Amino acid sequence: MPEARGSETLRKYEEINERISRGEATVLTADEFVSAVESEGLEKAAREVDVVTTGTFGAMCSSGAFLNFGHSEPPIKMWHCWLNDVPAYKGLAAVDAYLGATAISESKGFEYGGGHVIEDLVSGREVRLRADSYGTDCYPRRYVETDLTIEDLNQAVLLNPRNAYQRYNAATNSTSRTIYTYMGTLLPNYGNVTFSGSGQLSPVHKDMGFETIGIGTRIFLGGGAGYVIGEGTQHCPQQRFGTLMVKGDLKRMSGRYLRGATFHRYGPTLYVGVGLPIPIINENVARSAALSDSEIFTDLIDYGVPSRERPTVKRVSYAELKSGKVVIGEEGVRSSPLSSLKMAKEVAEVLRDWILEKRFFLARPAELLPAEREFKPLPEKSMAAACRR
Amino acid sequence: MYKPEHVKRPILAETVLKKKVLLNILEAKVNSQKGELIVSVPLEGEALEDLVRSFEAEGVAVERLPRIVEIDHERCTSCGACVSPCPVSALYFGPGWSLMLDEKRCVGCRVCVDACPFRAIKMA
Ligand code: SF4
Ligand code: SF4
Repeated sequence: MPEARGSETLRKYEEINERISRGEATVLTADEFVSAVESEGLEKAAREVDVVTTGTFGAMCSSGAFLNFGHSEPPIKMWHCWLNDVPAYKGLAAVDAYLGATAISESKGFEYGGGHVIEDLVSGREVRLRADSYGTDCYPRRYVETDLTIEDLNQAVLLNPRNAYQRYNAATNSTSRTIYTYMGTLLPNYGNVTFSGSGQLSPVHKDMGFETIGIGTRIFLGGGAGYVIGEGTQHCPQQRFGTLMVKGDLKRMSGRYLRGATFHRYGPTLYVGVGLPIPIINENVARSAALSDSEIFTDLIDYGVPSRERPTVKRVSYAELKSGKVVIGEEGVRSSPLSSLKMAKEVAEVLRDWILEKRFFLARPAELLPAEREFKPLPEKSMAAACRR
Repeated sequence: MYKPEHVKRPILAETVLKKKVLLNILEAKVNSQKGELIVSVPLEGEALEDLVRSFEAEGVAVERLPRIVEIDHERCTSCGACVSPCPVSALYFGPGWSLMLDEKRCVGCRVCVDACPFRAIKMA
């Protein structure tokens, strides 16, 4: 009989945490675990290793922060508000706002956006707040403008609806002109290949069956501790496109792992460092954590075709992508990542060291994330049909 | 930079044949009114000056692109977004996936400046 998803047959969370507090836990990064399995075999490695740490550091557009500014005197019910000229969403209570990573500066355009404001805040730099209102009996003020730092805020909570894609499509361009995309600069005539995701270090790929990842999983987020709070938007694990919704206290994160960025002619975004600890609770989890770059595949997509249904050029392994050359037809085409593999490795190492130093313990999720989810396109109903209703 | 009269003549090819130099075209924007080519020239010193003079004698404006790109290592995350777009592989990964630059290869085409999401590359 197959084991139930999440069954703790090799070790329980309590045992792992006890071993961590006694300084006896064996913790390896995913890179180290892949090597250990290659040399010792899966069974032995699974018996010996308690936790495998993972990491990724890439552009994650679906990121942002909830901010609470505190009340001015006299108070204002902020209707619109801007941080360094970047608009934040104000359809919330008087001084609550949500600042999205891809929001665009109204004065600097693409060069500065929500992701850059988040980096400035987390790095302790001063940010200019502006807000207007229509004035109410209880909130008479109509305008406020001031400089503030993250210390002045009551709450600054990073809450990202979709992070840490299990894998992402690799990109190339068949057309005769250079295109500038969220997959970076793509040279004409299949001139280069870009890819995202850290392959064998990728957090979600190391627990493909979602046996340990769920609501309440404690993680590395932006240099601090955070939590998985649900499936990410567009979560589609049966296609190997699992995603996570995560949150954490921005005040305890670091500008090293949250970096504002701009893709040329596309717009601003935020690079986020995310790492998950994968407790080796059963053999299935161990098998997934042992997957190497040559066993993790993604699709190489032609971004020259401006459609939802872009053609697949070929299936490609992360080993081939990371080798710096991808074979298309007869040719070897230069490939490079967009997400930093250096920083991904660093995230996995920092998380490993936190655990070894007894500064980070594992949390059993309150509920596992779904292992299957439909991913639907937008239905565009014709206006005629809409009018009949 | 070509003027309208240059567009109709194969100036580049004529110069290549005359000077027997292997120019490498990195970027070309030519229409009926004007043209702009970025070429890499495998010459130095007097031979380079001679080639520049022969273009200028034809009335072609020559601008030397600074070869030196500067990487701000504080901003650079070694993401790699500049690596595969560089036409001459001057940007590459060293040990531990750290970004490296081979200044001798760089031809100053500026492709990496726009490709970098962190604006970490500047032309010196
Ligand atoms: S300017 Fe940048 S892209 Fe162009 S050759 Fe130099 S390093 Fe490569
Ligand atoms: S694109 Fe910019 S940040 Fe990324 S490796 Fe190149 S210089 Fe560094």
